[in-house]
Amino acid sequence: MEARSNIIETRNLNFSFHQGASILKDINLQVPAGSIYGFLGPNGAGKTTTLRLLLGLIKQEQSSIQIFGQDFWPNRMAVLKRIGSLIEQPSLYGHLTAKENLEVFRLSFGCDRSRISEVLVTVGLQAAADKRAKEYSLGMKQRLAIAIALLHEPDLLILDEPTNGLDPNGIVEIRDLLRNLNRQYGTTILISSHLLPEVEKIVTHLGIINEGKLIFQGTLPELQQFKTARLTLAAEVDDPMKATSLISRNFNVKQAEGQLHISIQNKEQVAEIARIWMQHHINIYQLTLLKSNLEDLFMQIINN
Amino acid sequence: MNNFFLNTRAEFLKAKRTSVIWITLIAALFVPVIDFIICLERPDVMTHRMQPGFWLLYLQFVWKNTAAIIVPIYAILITSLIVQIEYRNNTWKQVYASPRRFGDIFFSKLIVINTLVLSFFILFSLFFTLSGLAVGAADANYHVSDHAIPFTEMIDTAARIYLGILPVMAIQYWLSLRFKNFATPLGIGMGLWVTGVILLDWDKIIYYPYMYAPLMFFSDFSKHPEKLPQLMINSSVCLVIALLSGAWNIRNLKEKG
Repeated sequence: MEARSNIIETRNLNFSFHQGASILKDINLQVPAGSIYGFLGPNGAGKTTTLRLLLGLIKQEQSSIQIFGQDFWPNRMAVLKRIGSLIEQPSLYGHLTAKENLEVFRLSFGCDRSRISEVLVTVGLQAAADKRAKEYSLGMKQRLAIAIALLHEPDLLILDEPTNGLDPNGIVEIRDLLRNLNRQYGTTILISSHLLPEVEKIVTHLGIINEGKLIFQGTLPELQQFKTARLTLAAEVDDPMKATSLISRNFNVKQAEGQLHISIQNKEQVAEIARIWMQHHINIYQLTLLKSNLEDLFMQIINN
Repeated sequence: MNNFFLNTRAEFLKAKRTSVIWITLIAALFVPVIDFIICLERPDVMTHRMQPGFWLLYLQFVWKNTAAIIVPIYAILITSLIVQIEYRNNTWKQVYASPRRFGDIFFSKLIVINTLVLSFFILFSLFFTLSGLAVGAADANYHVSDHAIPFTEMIDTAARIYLGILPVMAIQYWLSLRFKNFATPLGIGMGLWVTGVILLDWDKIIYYPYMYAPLMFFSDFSKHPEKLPQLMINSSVCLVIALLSGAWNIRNLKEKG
């Protein structure tokens, strides 16, 4: 494992399929070594495009992608040798058995044959090892795809929505499997999802992407701070000057469209402000929490 | 190089339990069986037609439809089917995300296709021999056992037609990699082959790759000996150009998988 703190680093990563139609804008992804990094965003935000760029499935040789401290394109082979991946739906040869599917990729990765039975045990598919992949349920297919990603004991796993279409039990199984891999082998995991509840129990770090921009990156507690720092209370009162002076020591207040816009950290502060004004005989006509687009996005991602 | 061999083994494994093996077998068996039945059903015509010597005339008889129809259709179909294994299973992205060089991915799959095409020629030659022997065993009037099996002519004819079909295989491989839809490369290939059949009397047909295999059989090289080296050079040049252009184009595709 590198002494470096970040396994993946992108610098101002931009991408567009056609000129003028940007898909990714200045993405500065930083995935710390040993972390489980949840890459969140609504559908169409640019998650899969980012992951495809990281794996070289989209060719952009001038892009600034560093993985394991090496520029990706000049070191493509060396980097891919240390990455296991699952992008979108599982990539399996339906006419081959689980063992044969694993053998196909074992030959490419050049790892020992014993790894096949080991990964089958890891994902709990040893009983169905001789069954053809097309006869598998979606959950089993996802697990087999993860087994392929684990074959060569990668240092980094890149998983694009690996719990998509799984029932709650399947989601828990995959979650436990990833947590164990991270704890036992120190595997860094980059996992994308469009819903925080699917990954919040296992992630240590988060990145949130929307409309091609990385709007947040940090730990879960940092996300909470980031979210609440963006709450705005709109107040309509009979004496805006006096009302402002009463709270301006503790809150950032701006006048806008005949209202006071006050930045707050949490909903409890609404009650606190109302109490102060009432004690000083300010008449309150209206108090509203303003919703920003960003907040809508968080609600969408965080609250399912 | 070791990785290339291992990846080529992986490519062969992917073809396991697919229809390509059966198609190869049926394509190689089809004409020898049909011609065996014709010989049995119409001895009044065929015993005269297959004399003198039987084997060389039977070789011409069996190869005629095979070189003109079966070989081009088989090459077009088998190439699309092998590439479709990846498209159908949605596995290209996993292949390109593996630590494999682009040239390795391109050429290891091509080896599988080429092995199948080569197997077709070997199997066809085997079935031709068995078919001829069966005709002799079923009807003594053909005098099959009076003559030796012409192995040299058999190999020579098969090798010429094999060289003639290689450019088609290379072009079809490129098309199959470019188009996700199975019908597109198949349709283009069949269209080009039918166009070639229509243009067969054209004096520039020697520059039309889809007709090289039929020309390798139907050209009378005893009358026009200069035609054989010209066809061989054209086939080889076309094969190399199609392969290099295909490999370069696929390597530089913006999005893979």
